[in-house]
Amino acid sequence: MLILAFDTATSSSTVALVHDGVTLGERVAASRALLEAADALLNDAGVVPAELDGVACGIGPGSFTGVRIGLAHARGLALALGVPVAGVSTLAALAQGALGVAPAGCVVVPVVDARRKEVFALVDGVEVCVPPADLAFPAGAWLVGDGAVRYRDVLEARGAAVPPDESPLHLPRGGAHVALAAAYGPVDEVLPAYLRAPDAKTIAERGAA
Amino acid sequence: MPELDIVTASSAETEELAARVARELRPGDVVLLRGDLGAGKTTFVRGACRALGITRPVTSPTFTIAHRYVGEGIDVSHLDLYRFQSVEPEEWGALEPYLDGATCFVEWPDAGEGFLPAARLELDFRHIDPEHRGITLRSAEASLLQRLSGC
Amino acid sequence: MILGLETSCDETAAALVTADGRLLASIVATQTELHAQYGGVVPEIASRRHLELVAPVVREALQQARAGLDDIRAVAVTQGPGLIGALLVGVASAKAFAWARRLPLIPVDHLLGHVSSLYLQPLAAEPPFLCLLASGGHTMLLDVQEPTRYTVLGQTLDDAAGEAFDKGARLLGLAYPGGVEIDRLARQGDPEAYSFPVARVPGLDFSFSGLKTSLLYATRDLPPAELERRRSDLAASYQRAIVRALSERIVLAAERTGASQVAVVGGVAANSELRASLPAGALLAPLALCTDNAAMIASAARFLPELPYPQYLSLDAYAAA
Repeated sequence: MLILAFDTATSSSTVALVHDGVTLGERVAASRALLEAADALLNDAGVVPAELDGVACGIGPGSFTGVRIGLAHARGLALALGVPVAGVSTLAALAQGALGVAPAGCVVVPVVDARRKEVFALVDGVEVCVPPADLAFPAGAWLVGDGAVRYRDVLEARGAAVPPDESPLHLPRGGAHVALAAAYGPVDEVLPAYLRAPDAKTIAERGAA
Repeated sequence: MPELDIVTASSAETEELAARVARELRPGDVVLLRGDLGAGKTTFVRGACRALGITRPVTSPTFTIAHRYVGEGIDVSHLDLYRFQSVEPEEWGALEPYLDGATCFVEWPDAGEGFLPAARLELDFRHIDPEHRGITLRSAEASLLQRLSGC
Repeated sequence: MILGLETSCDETAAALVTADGRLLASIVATQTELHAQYGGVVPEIASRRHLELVAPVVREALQQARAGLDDIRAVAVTQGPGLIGALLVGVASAKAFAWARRLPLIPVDHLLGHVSSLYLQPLAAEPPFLCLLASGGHTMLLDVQEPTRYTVLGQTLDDAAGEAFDKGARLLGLAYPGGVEIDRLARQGDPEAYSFPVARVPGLDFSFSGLKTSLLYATRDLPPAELERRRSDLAASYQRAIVRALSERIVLAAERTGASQVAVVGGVAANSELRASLPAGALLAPLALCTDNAAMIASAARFLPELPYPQYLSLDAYAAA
């Protein structure tokens, strides 16, 4: 399966071309230039959009505008190519990206900027929206994502390990979306995860809904 | 919450009051405006925008919902939620860009409860007669109201 | 055929137009059953669900036109002005669709779109003409020289004409949509019963904000039964004031510019009294295309430069005119 995977929910957008689970190429871009980056990836791999078998798209949580931009791209692609789409939590993708990089046994907490001096995070399988000072994590946990970068000082003071700003761990990367994509289906069923209190649900609850 | 009551005798006076308020505002501040049709809310925002260096027409956003202007060293957003029953997350995506890094005036804000950030200043407008309007300013910052009352 | 997409504010719309300006399909979500699936009975409540509706409206347009994806040879999309987050849904979808099929993209200005509703068959109007664009969000007088080029001669300084209708309807206790209700009720009323002065502002600009205050003061002390009794007269007089302000300006502008043809587009162009008040031979936007739609966007696209792949890939929306 040749999949175009992208995530526009956080401060930088990412896009990757993945073939049978292997990332052929990936790029970082501004959300408005997402297609330019995707185009370059396909050209580098010598393929055209008509050869894509599916799309994997980050659904947030993150910026409301960012999430919509990504999902709107997914709709245009699905309409044009007739391919199925899988939606993947941006937080889950961030956590997935740190697997195998963080030391064994180390807790990884993805943290995305939610504005209003709050962050979205995945804690014990639950997606939450809290001020960084209230985020619960064990000492030594690795915190990754644009929220971890933005609130580095507060979080490190509380015992978190935050990789350097330029670390790719802070971006939800396409290979992770493809790895996590559970079901590719009609794009109309792939909806944003707009997580704002009081709407915190477990992933299981949301999946069952 | 501390309050300040002012009566204006013309649109021009409403705009002058707005100019004084505008000079106190910083990027990220949210100002809520409530009151009946024709009581001076948009007039107030226009006066604030003029004081912040915005020269283009400041028209009512009732149907366009949000405008964002570039002023002198500050961006000003003008939102109007009159036509909203509530703000769905889907719609907040459309509004979010107007709050980032701008001073934001919101008319008919109650539909946006739960989404709008906390306000620095809230204003209530009412008709007294065809020329006069009563404007009540409320803010947790008593000192802000003090400065505005001392004219 | 050209696929047009419009998501600048309230409406999610798609349309298919041929190269010679024939309208094959025009789908506006709130005018279909689609909106009922997302918010229920009142279209206004379901407005602005662009992300959920953008794909369904395109599919419905294809179905209505009995066309397939391969029949689309270009994509037109509203680039601005409008609500930035709403515009981005249309722009992103359109770009992605075009890229995937290596089609050209034509970004279209929403206001030009309204003017372009006049270019579709069977009306097939041709510039030059003077055009009043009057809607809930805009009221402008345009000197249209060529299909895609106009000069703004005047505009509202405060409220748009459509807003004046809508808020007047609220003051009179009428249901949504207000402009339609006032139009209907006004036919039974006396337009000279009340005098609602409309502010005279310099040049060819407009001002309607004082008008709603006049109506407010005329109605605020009326007991409900009295308001009920006088409602048609109030509606008729209020409408007369708005229409008079608009048509007087059009005539004045025509005199000043020497224009021999006038036109009216936008939601308020559907108003029966406004349509009747214009000089004979005036170009009137087709009723179905007065409020926001994608047919007008595809119509404009026929006269605009096409961006071939890969020039449009980083295209952004713009919020302000």
